[in-house]
Amino acid sequence: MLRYTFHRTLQLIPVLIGVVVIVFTINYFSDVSPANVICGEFATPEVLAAKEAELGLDQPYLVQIGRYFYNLIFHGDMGRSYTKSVPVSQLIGERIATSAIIGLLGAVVSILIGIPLGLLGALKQNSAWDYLSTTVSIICTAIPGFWLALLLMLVFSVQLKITPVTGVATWRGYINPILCSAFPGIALLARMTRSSILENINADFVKTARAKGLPERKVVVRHVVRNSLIPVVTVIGSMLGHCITNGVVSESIFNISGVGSLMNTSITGKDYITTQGCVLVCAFMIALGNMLTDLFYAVIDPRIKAQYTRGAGRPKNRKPSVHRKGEAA
Amino acid sequence: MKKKTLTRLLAAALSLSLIFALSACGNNDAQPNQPDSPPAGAREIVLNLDGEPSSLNPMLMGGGKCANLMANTLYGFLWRVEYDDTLSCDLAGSYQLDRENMVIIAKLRSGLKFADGSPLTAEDVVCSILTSAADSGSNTSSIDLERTQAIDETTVQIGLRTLSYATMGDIGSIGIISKAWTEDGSNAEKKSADILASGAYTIEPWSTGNDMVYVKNPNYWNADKVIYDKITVKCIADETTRFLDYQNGGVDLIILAKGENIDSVENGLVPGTVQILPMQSVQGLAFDTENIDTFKNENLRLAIAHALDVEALVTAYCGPRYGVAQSVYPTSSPYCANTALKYDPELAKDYLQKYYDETGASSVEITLTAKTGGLDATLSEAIQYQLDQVLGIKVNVSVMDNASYFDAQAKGEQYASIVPLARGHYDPSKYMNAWMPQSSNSIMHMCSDELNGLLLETVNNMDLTGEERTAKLAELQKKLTGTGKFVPMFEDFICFALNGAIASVDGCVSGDGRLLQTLWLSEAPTPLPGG
Repeated sequence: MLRYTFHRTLQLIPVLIGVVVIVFTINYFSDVSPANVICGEFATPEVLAAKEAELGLDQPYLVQIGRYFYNLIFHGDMGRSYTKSVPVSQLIGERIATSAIIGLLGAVVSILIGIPLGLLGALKQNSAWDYLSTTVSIICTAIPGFWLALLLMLVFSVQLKITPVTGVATWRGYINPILCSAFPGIALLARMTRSSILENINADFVKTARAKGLPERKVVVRHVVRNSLIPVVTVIGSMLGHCITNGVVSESIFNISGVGSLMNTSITGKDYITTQGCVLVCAFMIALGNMLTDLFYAVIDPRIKAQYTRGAGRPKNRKPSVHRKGEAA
Repeated sequence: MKKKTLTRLLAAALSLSLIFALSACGNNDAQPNQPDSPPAGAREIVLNLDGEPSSLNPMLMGGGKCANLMANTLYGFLWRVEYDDTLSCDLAGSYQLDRENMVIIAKLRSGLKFADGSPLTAEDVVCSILTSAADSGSNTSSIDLERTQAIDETTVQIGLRTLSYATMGDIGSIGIISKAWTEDGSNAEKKSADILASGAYTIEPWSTGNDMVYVKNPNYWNADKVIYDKITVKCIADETTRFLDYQNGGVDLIILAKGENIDSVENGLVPGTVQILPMQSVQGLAFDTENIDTFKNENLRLAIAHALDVEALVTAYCGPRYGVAQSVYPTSSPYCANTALKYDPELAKDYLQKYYDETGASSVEITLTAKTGGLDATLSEAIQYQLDQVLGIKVNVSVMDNASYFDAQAKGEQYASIVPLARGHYDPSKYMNAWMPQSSNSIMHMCSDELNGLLLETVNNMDLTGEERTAKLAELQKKLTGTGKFVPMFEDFICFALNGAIASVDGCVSGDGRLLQTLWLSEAPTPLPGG
C-alpha cells in the first residue's frame, strides 16, 4: 500500500511538468508582450526593449523555461507579477486559504445535502420524494453560477441583511460563496448517488442480505450504500480537486480575495506569469484530489486494497502447472 | 464501547469542532458591512470605487479611480493643478520659472516631514523625479534630468528640455517618495507597512484584494485642514456588486455609470442623492491616417463622418447620462466651438463617390477596433450598422480587451476606433495629447505636420493671451474635424450617489484624485505663488 502511494505521488510530477510546459509555451507565443503590460501604453520602444532585457524576455524559449523551472524547483519562485510587482507565490499564498475554505466547505455542504437527497430519491423511487430529488438536482444544475451569486446577494444581503454583500471579514461573509460553490455539487452528488444505489439495490447480495432477515436499514447502510460509494467518491475527489478553480466566478462577484479572482484579473490584465502560477496550483490540487481518491478506493473497497497490500501484490503471470499422471494437483 | 457508538461520538465531535472553527473566523461582533466603530469625535467616510491600484508605489500604481485616490491621499506633490488650470500649494511654497535658462526653482516649505517624522527634503523630491523617469517616463519627457538637482535642503532646481502649457501639470503630478525608503534594500517588496507617506494620509497594512484603509497623517503640513480621520475604500470591480453594497448600507459614496442604477437613486427606490459632474472628456471616432492607407483619403473620412447620425447613436446606445459632443472639446470648455460634421446621407454618398472616382475602387471594407466593456463595443456595432445602411460600406468590428487593444495600437493596427480625447484635465493641450508625441494613442499621431505644428506653436507659446490661444485652438479643431480625421461622438459625466453623510461633491470636475481631494480638505486649496 505504501509502495502504491509512493508511485501515485511520483505520477504527480510529470503531470505538473506537462502543465507548466503547456502554459508557458502558450504564454511565450502570445501576441501581447509582458513589457507592454508593465510599461503601459505610453512606453517608447526603447523603454520596452530595456524592460524586456531586464525581465529576460529577450532570451530564447529554452533558456526562459529552464530558468523558470530552476527558480520554481529550487527557490519556490513562480516569478513576479507583471501588474502588481510582487512575487506570484506571495499573491497566491495570501489567497489560497480563503479559496480552500470556501471550496472545501462547499464540498462538505454538497456532500451533506447531495448524498442524502440521492439516497432518498433512490429508496423512494418514483414517489414524490424521488421527483423532488430530481427537481432539486435539475434546478441546481441549471442555475448559472454568476446568476446564483447575484440572487444570493440580493436575497440574503440586501433584502434579509443576514450576510454582507462583499468580502469575508466575518463568518457570515462565507455563507453566500459557500452556497454558490455547493449548488453544482449537490446536483451532481444527488444524481450520482441515486443512480449508483439503484444499480445495487436489487443486486443478488442485497437479496441475500434481506433473505437472511437483516433489517432494511442495515441492508441499505451496510451493503447498498457501501457498495455504491465508489462512483460517488470519484465525484467527491473531483470536487475537492476543483475546490479552488470553482471560485473564479463567485469570488469575482462577491469581491473575495481568492485564487479564483486572482486568476480572473490576471487573465483579463494579461498578467501571464500570475496566470501561470494559478494554473500550476490548480493543476496540483486537481492531481492531488485524484490521487487521494485513488487511495481512498483502497479504504472503502477491500478488493482494491487486497491488490496492493504487502505479500499479496498483483497476481503474477504463472505458467499453468502441469500435473503428471498420478501426482496430486 | 461499541464501534457504532464510537463512530457516532466521533462524528458529533467533528461537527462541533467545525462549528467552533467557523465561529472563530473573523470578528463576530461586527455587523455585516459596518466599519469598526470610530473613536468618539473621529470622522470617517466609506467609499466604494472600482478597481484597485496595481501597487502602492506611485510610479507603478496604474490608472483608475482607486489608484488616483491612493496617489492623492498618500503622497504629497510639489503643487497641484486645479480644475480651473490654476496651481495650488502643496509641498512647494513657491516656484520661479526661468524661461531663458529653462529652469524651474521650487522652494519647499520648511519643516516638511514624512509620516514617520523623518524630514522631507529637496533630495527626496529629486529622487522622486528620477524614479518617475526610470519607471514610467510619461510625465518626465519635458524634464532635463541632468540639470535636476537639490540646491539646498529646501530648494529644488528642475531643468527643462521643453516648456509647454502642460509642463507645470506634468511636474506637479509626480508623487513625492522618500529617498531613504527607495534605496533601502529591505523595502524591496514595497509592502504597505513600509510605505512612507508624504501626503495627508497613511495606509494601514494592505494587500491586494482587501479594503484600503487610510488614516490621517499627523505629520502632513496641512493636517489641521484635513477633515476625515479615516477613509475606507472598498475596491469592487463589478458595478452591480458595488451598487448592491451601497444599497445594503454602510457606504457613503459610490461612483455609478449604469443608467438604471442612477435612476434607482434619483427615483427614490434606493436611498441617497445623485450628483452629476461633467468629466471634461470627449470620446470620438478617430482614423489612423498614418498606418492605414484607406484612411489617408479625406473624401472617405468625410463620407463616413457625414454618414453617422451621432445624435441618434448617442441617444440610443449611450443613454441620457451622455451628451452629444459638438467639438473636440467638451461643451463646458470655453474652447468648445460647434465644429462637428452634420449627419447628411446625400453629402456622404457624394464624398464616397469622389473617393471611388479618385481611387478606382468600387467598394470599401474597414475595421473598427473597440475595447470590451463600456460603450466602445456597442457604439462600434451601431456604427457598423449605420455605415452599412447609408453607404453600403462593410465594417468589421474587432472587440478586444485592454491589453490587446493597446498592443494593437503599438503595432499600428488600430484602424479606426473610438478614442478618448481628453485625459480628465482642463488644460486644452491635454486634449491634443501634445505631451505624448510618441504615443500611438495620441490624436496627434493622426494629424498632419501642419496641424501638429499649429498645436505645438499654440501649446508651447506661453506668451499668448487667453483670447489668442482660444482663437488658435478653435482654428485647429476646425481643421481637425473639417477633414474628418476625428468625429466627436459623446461627452461623459461622472455620477455619484451620496447617502446623506456627504452633502455634495464640490468643485473639481476632472481627475478623480483631485475630485476626491476636495472631500478631505475643509477649505479651498491655496493658490501657489510664483511665476
